[in-house]
Amino acid sequence: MTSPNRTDSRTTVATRRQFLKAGAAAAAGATSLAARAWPAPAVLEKRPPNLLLIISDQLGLDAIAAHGCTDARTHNIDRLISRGTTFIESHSSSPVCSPARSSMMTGCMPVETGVISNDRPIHPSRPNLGQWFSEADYETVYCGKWHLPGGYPTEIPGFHVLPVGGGQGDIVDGYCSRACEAYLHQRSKDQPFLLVSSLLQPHDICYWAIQGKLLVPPELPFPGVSNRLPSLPPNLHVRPKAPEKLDRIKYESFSDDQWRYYLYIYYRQVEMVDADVGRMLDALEDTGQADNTVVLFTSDHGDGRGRHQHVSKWYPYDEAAKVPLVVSCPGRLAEGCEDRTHLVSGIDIMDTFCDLAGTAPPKTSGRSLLPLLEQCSVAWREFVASEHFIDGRMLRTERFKYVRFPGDPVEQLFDMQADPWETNNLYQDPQYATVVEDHRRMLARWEKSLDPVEPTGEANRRKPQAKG
Amino acid sequence: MPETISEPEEIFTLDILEPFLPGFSPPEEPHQPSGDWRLQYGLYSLGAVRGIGRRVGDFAVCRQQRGPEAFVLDIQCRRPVGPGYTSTLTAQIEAQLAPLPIPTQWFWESEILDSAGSRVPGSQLRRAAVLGNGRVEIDGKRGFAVSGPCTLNWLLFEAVGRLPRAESALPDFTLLDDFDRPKPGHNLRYDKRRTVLVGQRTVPQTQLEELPKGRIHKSVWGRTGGRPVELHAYQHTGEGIVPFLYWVDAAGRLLFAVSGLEAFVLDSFQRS
Repeated sequence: MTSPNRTDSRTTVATRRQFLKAGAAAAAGATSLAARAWPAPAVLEKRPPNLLLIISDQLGLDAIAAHGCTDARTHNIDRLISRGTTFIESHSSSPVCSPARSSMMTGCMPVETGVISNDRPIHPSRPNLGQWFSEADYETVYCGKWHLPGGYPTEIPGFHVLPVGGGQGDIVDGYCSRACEAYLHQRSKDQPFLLVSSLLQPHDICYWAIQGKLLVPPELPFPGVSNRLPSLPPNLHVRPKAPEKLDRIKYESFSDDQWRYYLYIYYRQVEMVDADVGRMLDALEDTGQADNTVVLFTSDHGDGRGRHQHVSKWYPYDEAAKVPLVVSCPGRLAEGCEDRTHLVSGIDIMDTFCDLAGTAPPKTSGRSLLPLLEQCSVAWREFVASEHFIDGRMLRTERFKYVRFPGDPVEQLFDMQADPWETNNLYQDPQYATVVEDHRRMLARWEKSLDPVEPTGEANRRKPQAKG
Repeated sequence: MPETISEPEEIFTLDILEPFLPGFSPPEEPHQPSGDWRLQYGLYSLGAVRGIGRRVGDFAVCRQQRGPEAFVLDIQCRRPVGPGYTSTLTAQIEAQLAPLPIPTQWFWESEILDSAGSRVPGSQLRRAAVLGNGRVEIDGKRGFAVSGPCTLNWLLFEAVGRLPRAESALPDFTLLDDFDRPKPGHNLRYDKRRTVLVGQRTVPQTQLEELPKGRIHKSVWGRTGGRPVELHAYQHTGEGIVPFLYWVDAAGRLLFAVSGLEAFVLDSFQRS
């Protein structure tokens, strides 16, 4: 339910039949009025703000100093948080690169974008942010990782692309933030902009896990950092009962000392992306655009960081599933706020941006965060859901987390208030039988509300890669 | 005293660089770290592969001494960034000569060129910075204070050639990373000396293998030739970087700078 003055994000702007009818044209990336697959967005008569979406990769919510992390110094992300609202109950729609990014770009769950796993394109019936906002008279620019499906393409439908190449974050992120800085300094100010800056760090940590002892040798290679190694997480060796798809994955290559060095490297990579975020925030201030630019900072997913003896992502555990979501526009929106209550997701970005711009959104499954950013009292969703390993589902309510994989008798229920490290699976505890049943019903109801499409890119599937 | 040749597989980051060594032929002419020189590197991305990885850029460093106490470092980097696109980065850094060089003023310019060599609109960036009285000012507009020693990351490519080839204590410093990103709490220290063989050829060899009832001649690939090169490593750690190891030769010429995923390799290398 939404405030009567807000656009209902579930209002259908056009029917699915209309989207599919023009699907071929949309697939070709056409955004002209004659060829697009969706009606033009309605634009209200007021000066809309600029929009800067900064996406990091593999950054967990609690890897930020302002969120309590003592192992990383994140001066610039902290600066952003101090000037805006940070959402503590922010969850990825599917904590792996392409599906999560498809949700951020469209406001739809991965089953609704067709991007149910990595390296798939967005279904042509779902307009991305660039396609939608370019028709609302925004200058739409993209820089950095895309991964829908190509990693760093030089052409993306709906966007003017600043090409910076691909590879790894420690090489490419500096070029990305510099290219965005250059754009902010040189752009014409005749129309508002939507700039997406997609940084790669701390995703480089994937290679430390893949390369094993080549990059994380048994003996600490830099003894000078021995007093700066992070502590091990309390759930490093904790493996609660889990569905088979979760249970069969376990990273066993590291000793405790190697885990600590792995974490040391991860938090240095977090600091690297923080520096690039700072460059763009500085550019906004230097060019006098900070007061009229809404900055939204988030990540596609987190990293296992040894918790539950995992590395990487796609798990429903918080280390992978909870991501930062910070919205800032000093002078326009509330500052210095930490929202610990409302459940939010990457699917809310499209609606939020549309609401800020005074533009009706396309059909989405998200909600506008603007009432929360303006500290309005508003009824909010009872849960968020996410997708894992294609057919797994996680439902997060205020207190509990419920996980289910079809065909697997083992489910998971965690009391996130009493057990934030997710160590004790309660699904077979008779005291929680009613809770499990309630969550099953909510999940079933949620799945019926979705508008799924065929998975995309099936004809061109290549072997799934270990990294995302 | 016979020189001890180390197996690169047993030395951290030389194990990563080991695939480069057979094709590596470092210059033998004299090198004066405090003089005028130009060195060209390939930037390699190692990622998930074992081996040489992918060459992702060209990087040149040119040093010119300016009087007894100062020098200028010119940096040029070119990277392919998509079909027909190239990203370029050029910089000039003026610095005071010191074990840890002190930047006084520097400028940097980056842009993206298309296949015709034309600049991609909106991609050009030109910035200039000065350091004085403990403060960095950028374009005369933005500034921040730095307390204690500080230097630019690119100046470390010059500094390691002049540092003593033995344990020496440099104070912790603030790194001005990528020209304008201040990162405190950095440390550069001498790590170790090793001698490795470079330029070896891979040749078929025969090994004699004893069996319970006789012996057989087995064909294997082995290495021969090559020459020993003395290497000195300096390790660089601190906030906001993945630790780096800088490997210089006995003359102070930087041969390799490697962080694990990225490796700068002096262009004296040919794939074998």
